[in-house]
Amino acid sequence: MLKKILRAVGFMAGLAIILATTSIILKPKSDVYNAVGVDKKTKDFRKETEQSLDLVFFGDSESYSAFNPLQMYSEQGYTSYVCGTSLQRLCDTYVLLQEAYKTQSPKVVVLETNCFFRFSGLAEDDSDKVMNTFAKVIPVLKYHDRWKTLVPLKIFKHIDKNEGLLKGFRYRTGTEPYNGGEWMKKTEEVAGTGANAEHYLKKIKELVESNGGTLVLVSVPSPDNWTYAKHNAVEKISEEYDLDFLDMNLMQDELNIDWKTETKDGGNHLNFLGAKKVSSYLAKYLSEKYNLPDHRDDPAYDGWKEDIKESGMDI
Amino acid sequence: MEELLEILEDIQPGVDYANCKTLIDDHILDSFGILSLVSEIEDAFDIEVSPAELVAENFNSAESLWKMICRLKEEE
Amino acid sequence: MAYHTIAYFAVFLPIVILLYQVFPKKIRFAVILAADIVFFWLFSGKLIIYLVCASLLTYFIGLWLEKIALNPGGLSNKLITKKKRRVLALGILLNLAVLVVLKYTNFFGQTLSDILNVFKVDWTYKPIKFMIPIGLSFYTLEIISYLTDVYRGTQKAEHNFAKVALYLSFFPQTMEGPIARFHETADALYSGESIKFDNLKFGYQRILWGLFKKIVVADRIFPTVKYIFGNYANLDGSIALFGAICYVTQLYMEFSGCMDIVIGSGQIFGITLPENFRQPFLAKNAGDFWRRWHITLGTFFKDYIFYPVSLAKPVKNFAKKVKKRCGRNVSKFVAPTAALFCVWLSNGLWHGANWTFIFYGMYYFVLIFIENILEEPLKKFTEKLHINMESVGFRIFRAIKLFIIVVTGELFFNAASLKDGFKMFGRIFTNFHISELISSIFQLKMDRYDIPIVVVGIILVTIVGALKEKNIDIRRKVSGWVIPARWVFWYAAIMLVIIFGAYGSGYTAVDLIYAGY
Repeated sequence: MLKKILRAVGFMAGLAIILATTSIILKPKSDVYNAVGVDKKTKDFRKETEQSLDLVFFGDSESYSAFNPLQMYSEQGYTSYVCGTSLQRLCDTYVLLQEAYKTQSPKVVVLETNCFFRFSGLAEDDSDKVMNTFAKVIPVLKYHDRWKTLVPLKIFKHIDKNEGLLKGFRYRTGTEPYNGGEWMKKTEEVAGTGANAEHYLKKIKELVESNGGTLVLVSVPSPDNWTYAKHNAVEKISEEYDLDFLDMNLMQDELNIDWKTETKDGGNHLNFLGAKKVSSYLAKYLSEKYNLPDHRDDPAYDGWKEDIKESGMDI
Repeated sequence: MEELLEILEDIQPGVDYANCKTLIDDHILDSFGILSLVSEIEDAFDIEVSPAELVAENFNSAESLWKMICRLKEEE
Repeated sequence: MAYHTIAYFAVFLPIVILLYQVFPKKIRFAVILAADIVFFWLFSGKLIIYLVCASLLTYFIGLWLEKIALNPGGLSNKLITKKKRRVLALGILLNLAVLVVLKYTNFFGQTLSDILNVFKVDWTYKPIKFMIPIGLSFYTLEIISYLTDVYRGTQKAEHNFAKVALYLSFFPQTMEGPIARFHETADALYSGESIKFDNLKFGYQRILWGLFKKIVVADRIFPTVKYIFGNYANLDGSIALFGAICYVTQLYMEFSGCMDIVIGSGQIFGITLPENFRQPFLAKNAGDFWRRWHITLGTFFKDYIFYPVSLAKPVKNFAKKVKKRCGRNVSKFVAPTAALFCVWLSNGLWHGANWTFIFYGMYYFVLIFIENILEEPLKKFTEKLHINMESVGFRIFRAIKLFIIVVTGELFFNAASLKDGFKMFGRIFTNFHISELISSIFQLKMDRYDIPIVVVGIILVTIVGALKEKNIDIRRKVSGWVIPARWVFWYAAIMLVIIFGAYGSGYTAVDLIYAGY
């Protein structure tokens, strides 16, 4: 019996070593929430021609459902890219921003503000609390999916259209009407931001300014996610940190979004039709306010025209 | 017993019924086979087989089947 | 805390094992019972009252049946049987009533209002939201099997209430079965035998294999299935077919994987739970498939519906009449067909109150009926043409035919409504362009990394299944290896599940499918 127990202990010790090793291999260098999303975005982003982007967008799914760089290029002529990842936390934004500055020097950095209201830091996923507790001790449980970025898989690449054609924008087709009416009722209430959010925002601002750029806060219309109290919170932060803030939830007359047909999922995300209106308005606004360049006649940027053609965005 | 073996052979030919002890366990007789078998032996031996008798122990071999038939005959 | 979550196999189960082992033999059954209660409570809370009442009812009806059989009043055999039959009917009906009310009221209400609307009667049914206790469909069948066996005299009525409660509530079986018989688990659960090291080891090895099927393969396919079944109207027929094939794969991997976890958990405590799967896709035909897929449900229907209906007096008398008129070759199909119809109607309804499930049941009824009628003519036919039914070519043909049957059945089974099922099925024939599937294969929620993993997983499961069919058990083989090789094997297996499992951020947790029935 003693032999059996010793053997079992030996087996467990070996397993612990393997778990520790794989954890070290798979754990990302800095704190990120959606590690796989950040990895994938970094990889896609590096494919852009170096020093070719005037503007970079950050944010969660709100951002890549609403900001369409190809459309903005064809309308205003400046180049941009959406570094939005699903459920982005500001700690993810910070890591992605550092990555972005390795190959690009955007004049303007736009941050969609929905992620201000999420906890910033390592995963606090409430779906499986026991798993989270285990993952704190054994990080491989949390980062296991990163094998996808560590293992280079060349097969079938030619039929995989998912990768980076639309400069980070996602073309969303579904329609589910939003029937809730006005969601921005004026109030004095101020919503609380997610833990650590301000800490990371400060770091993001410093990084942008030390690279000679301007940080701009934008909130995409979303009846599901946005409230006046959240508006007040971001308004307060923008004043405190001296940042420009554009809340498109208050601009329904200008944007004229039809909530019956232009949202993908009942007022959470915009679909392609809604994105078209937001992108068009925002492109003009940013271009004028920050004096962004127009590359439409510059042959060095002809790749953009090809991308527009290939993606069918010109129709 | 002879008669029983004949019935068995008639329902599904080509099995060594005299020696096989796993008619059910090895899925040689399926539920349809069992039902045809039951209706045949009910007629042949003038007995009534209740659902409670339809268990593997009674149907796994010709021998156990014969035992069941004898028992039911006595109960009549 | 479903069986595939870390909370179950890495926290709950070890705690139960530890407590079980620490307590003296005599009260170990109480540890199991306490674990059963905690497990049930975590899903259904106060609804545990249903299970408690059902257990008490079962216990007392069992004793009552025994008392009648002992016959203190000196009644005739006929009268005793009559009395026993009434008590059995009471026990079964009371239990079934709970199941029918909780699960089928809304279905009947909706159907009634649909029918009335056809006759222009303006009445709409307002669905009631019922709270259904976990595992209701499973333990109700266990109650029926126990009471019927006591009635038939093949099972002694249990005088110890704890055993009845243990039988009905053993926590690994709560969510998805298997549907065991009283003698298979009750005594072993009560006996409190010490945990054997080998049982612990083999049990956890089997759990690991189940986790592989569920987390690595089934959960990775799930988003694709959900997407295709939800959007089939805008997708090509080839993609709809791909979706149905994915669903069959997901369902098998998930249900059989969960059974591996369940049976492995039982094995740790020395409980041999009945197997629910036996390489179903290697079956000869649809009938054989159902002797290999969800086996305990099939044998339940066989023992408690198929045989009793076939041997019921009215059915027998009718068969005799047919025999006089049309001869034996026709009459021999009467009883089995009548019984088969009852079995498949029950099977459909058991899965849930939806026309898709009833259709699914009737689909298999028709298929198996045809198989039975054609069996003999087909045999003669193949003998005449000298086709070898055991040749490789014929077996491949047979396997493909069966797979088409299963995929078609499950397509309707998983469709949101019968109308959706027919529409999706129709698309496969009217709108089929295989190029569409190839060009959009990575837009169907599985990326370039997911698909190879799923394919490798399917190949692994197939190889293990094929070996098992030949009575070769890989686990036993591995346990004969020298320690370094054995350990490397198990390390690799564990890491395979940890690294390639579809869990955590980026994946949505997938509930167990059969826990919903």
